[in-house]
Amino acid sequence: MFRELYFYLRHNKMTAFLLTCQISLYLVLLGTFMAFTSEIHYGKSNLENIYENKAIYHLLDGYFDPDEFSNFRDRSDALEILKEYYHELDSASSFQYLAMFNQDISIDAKEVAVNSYSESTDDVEHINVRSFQMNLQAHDYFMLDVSEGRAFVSNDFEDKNGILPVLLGNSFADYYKVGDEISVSFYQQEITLSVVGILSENSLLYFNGDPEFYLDDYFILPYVNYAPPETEYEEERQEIIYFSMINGYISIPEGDGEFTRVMMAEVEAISQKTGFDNYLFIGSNPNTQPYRGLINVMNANYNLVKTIFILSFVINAIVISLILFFEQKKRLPAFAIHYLHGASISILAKRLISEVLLIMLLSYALSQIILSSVLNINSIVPQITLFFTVVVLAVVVSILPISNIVRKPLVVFLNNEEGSM
Amino acid sequence: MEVLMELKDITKVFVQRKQPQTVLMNLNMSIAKGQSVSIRGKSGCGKSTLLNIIAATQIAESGKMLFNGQDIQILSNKERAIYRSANIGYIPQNLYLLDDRSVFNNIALPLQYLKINKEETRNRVEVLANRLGIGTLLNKNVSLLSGGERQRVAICRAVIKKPLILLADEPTGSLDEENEAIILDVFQELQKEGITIIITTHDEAVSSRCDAMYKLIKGGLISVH
Repeated sequence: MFRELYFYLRHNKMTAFLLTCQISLYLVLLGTFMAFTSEIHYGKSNLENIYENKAIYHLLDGYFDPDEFSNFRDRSDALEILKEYYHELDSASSFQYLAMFNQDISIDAKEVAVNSYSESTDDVEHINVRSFQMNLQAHDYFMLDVSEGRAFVSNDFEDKNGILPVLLGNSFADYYKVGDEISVSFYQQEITLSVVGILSENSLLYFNGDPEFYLDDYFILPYVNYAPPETEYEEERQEIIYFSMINGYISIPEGDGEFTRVMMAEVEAISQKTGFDNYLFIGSNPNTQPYRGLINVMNANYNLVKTIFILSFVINAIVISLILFFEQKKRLPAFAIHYLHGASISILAKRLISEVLLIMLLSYALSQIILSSVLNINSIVPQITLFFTVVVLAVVVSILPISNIVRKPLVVFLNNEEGSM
Repeated sequence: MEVLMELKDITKVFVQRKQPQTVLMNLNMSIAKGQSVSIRGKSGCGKSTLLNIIAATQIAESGKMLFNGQDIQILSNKERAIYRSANIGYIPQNLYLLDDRSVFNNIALPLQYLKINKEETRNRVEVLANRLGIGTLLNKNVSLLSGGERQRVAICRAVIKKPLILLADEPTGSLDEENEAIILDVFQELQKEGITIIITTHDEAVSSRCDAMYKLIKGGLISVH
């Protein structure tokens, strides 16, 4: 068997090479398409899971004027008001309050591991790293999941004297492990971050009008319930942090306006109760339109790409099958000679399918190398699907020549007078 | 003489363009061991079909093909392959040497189905090739050979396994007189070694060198003296 395969490949090396290239290219395209559709489907369903039937409003403080802002902070009860306002929002009954902000943190430059993710800074001893802060509701709302360690739990949002749990974006997976401690400067205070988990790749949330704000390059910190400050410096620091915490997002169920009215009434009631009366909403629903548009674009592109690829897949499969079929048909006289000299039909059928299968498996192996090493597509689903495609194609292509061998006397393929009858 | 093979009432029908054509009709023939037989006839009269039935590569619609008393027609595909592998050497009309391999590997082809080891294969091929004057060509690709050389390679391939019967379909059809004479001498030598030879030919001179001569006319054999 192997000896005959060797003769076949050696004699048909150019044909085999070209066929292998064509089938490999076809499999690479197919694998890419499957990875793409799986990705787009995942992205689409992920977005739908998060946003379907929900409306998101942006809640801001109204202190745009520096003097007004300064006057408010000069009040002795400023921090108390901010804290109470935040806690009331965080525990509101008619809406979910999503406190989120992206405040960079400063990290020791010796932590060279994060160099590639830092933004340039003049400070040679410290570099800035992208960081994102959120409350537990935001964390749960966007269903953030981890690939290692654990996600945040309610206990992580309590003040633990300068030690903060941190979730790392997936880009940091190769540099840190769960349990590592990292010294950083956060709002001008040296704190220690304890790595509790690594986020799953492509974790995303809604932020600044972007329904696909990816967290892969971010350190995720919890917005903790700070203990009362002991120093004036600490008080000022907490004021700044709480100002960022009260600028967040409100999510309510989508509806005929009743949910919105109830939500606004509750925000107003919280405002009056806590004395923080300078708030405003930006836009009625900054999220819905871009999100819907995105889904529509995804759907349109997905269907178009799917149609093009399926057409191309079918045409390619037919062309490859025809080429292989005619190649094998040309082999029938040689098979007849083997038959004349003692080969049985089953040996020849096995040889025929092994010749086709060899080219298909070579192509499969080549396509896997390209997909995995060049295109970085390592998903198991395309690998298995492509393997079955290869086997099915090999069988389909072999069926007709094999049925020729089985049904007709093989010697009819020897071109002599009576044999052609 | 000991009868090696008998064909009894063999009828073979082909369907061409949906029209049945009877090529062999109630054909009877008896061949003794070590005999040489020639079958002449017009193109398309059924000579190759007759050889294919003897080689068990085609099955007749009716009749028996007895080899040492065993009806080959009723054997399974696998059993017929074993019969062919053990007993039949075949030189097809257009030779059909396999151009994906050397002369050596063409000649050795039948031995791989008999599971003969490498050393024995090499021995047999070299001895036979030297005897037929193609010993120096063993490593050449068959596409580089002349017509006479190709014919000798085909003969070597057919007799390498020491078959009881050698079937040769128009073995001298494309050869000049000199090469034709060489090939016929080879056949004569093989016959002396006990191989039964059945040749189809158009050529009366070739036919006349055989022990028995037949003409295939209208599906039946007529003995020619």
